[in-house]
Amino acid sequence: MRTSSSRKDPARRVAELGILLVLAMVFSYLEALFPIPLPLPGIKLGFANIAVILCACYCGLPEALLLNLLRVVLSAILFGNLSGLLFSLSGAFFSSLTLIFLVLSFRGSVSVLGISVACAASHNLGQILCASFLLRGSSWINPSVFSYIPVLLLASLITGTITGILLKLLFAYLEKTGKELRYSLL
Amino acid sequence: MTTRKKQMFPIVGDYVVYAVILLIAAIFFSLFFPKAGDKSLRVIRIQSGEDVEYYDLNSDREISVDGEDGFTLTLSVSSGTVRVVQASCRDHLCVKTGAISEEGRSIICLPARVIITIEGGDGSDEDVFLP
Repeated sequence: MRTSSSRKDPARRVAELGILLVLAMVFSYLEALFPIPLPLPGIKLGFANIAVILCACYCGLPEALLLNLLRVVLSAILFGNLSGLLFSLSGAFFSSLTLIFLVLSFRGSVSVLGISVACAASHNLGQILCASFLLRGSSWINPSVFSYIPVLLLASLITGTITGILLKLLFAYLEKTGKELRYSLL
Repeated sequence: MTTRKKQMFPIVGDYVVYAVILLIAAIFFSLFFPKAGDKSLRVIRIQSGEDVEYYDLNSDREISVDGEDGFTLTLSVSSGTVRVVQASCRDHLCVKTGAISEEGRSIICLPARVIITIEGGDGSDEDVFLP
């Protein structure tokens, strides 16, 4: 089963990507159903990151980017509203950039915990940039929205740590069962 | 066994990521919440789309704001705090934000594109006329 030829089997790759995409969308849906009871808008646990980072390590980086894009667009169409799509796209764009940058440049010196936190933080920054653009009024950007950045960054430290620990447990389990990973991020 | 246990702990790069994020948060915090200004000079800045209006924070009243897409908000100003008491949008995040009184704090209603900010009102760069 674990020969290199079976990894390249297109049908198998499609099936794996499909499973991961469904996993990401179920996470998105559950988080939309049960929001964190805090009076702070825009904060959620970001469990969909688990599927994206898992996809990056198991299938590859291009597949992870595709997964992130599809997850955002499909979730917005199925469960959300289209005005939220811009925010999600902006956040997904920045978190994808961070994911690529960290995996390609700092693999070995940063673990999946740091990657998870950095992706959560950059996702939030992307959303803030989008908000400051949409609320820009007469100037090209609205800096008063940036006052929310410290709150969001501190929140992403907590939520990113939670998803990072879950990912560490998941990777430890995958390595124990002998799954071949393209990028080991432990 | 020991190696697997070690793998569960953060490594150097993780601490660097944490430090960088904390640093950015601290920079933005110091940019937007610099000092506690004179309370008697605070004003409410209400931006709806491209229109900006200022109100005195120290005179109690109700303010109606017309946002974009036909959304309306009702603000209540009382004893130096302002809060949104009624909003016609669907998520009511602005209502849930509650009352704000500190300089630099803001209430944002995205569907109506309305931003309510408390400013120092020390007249540093704008002429503010309070109605």
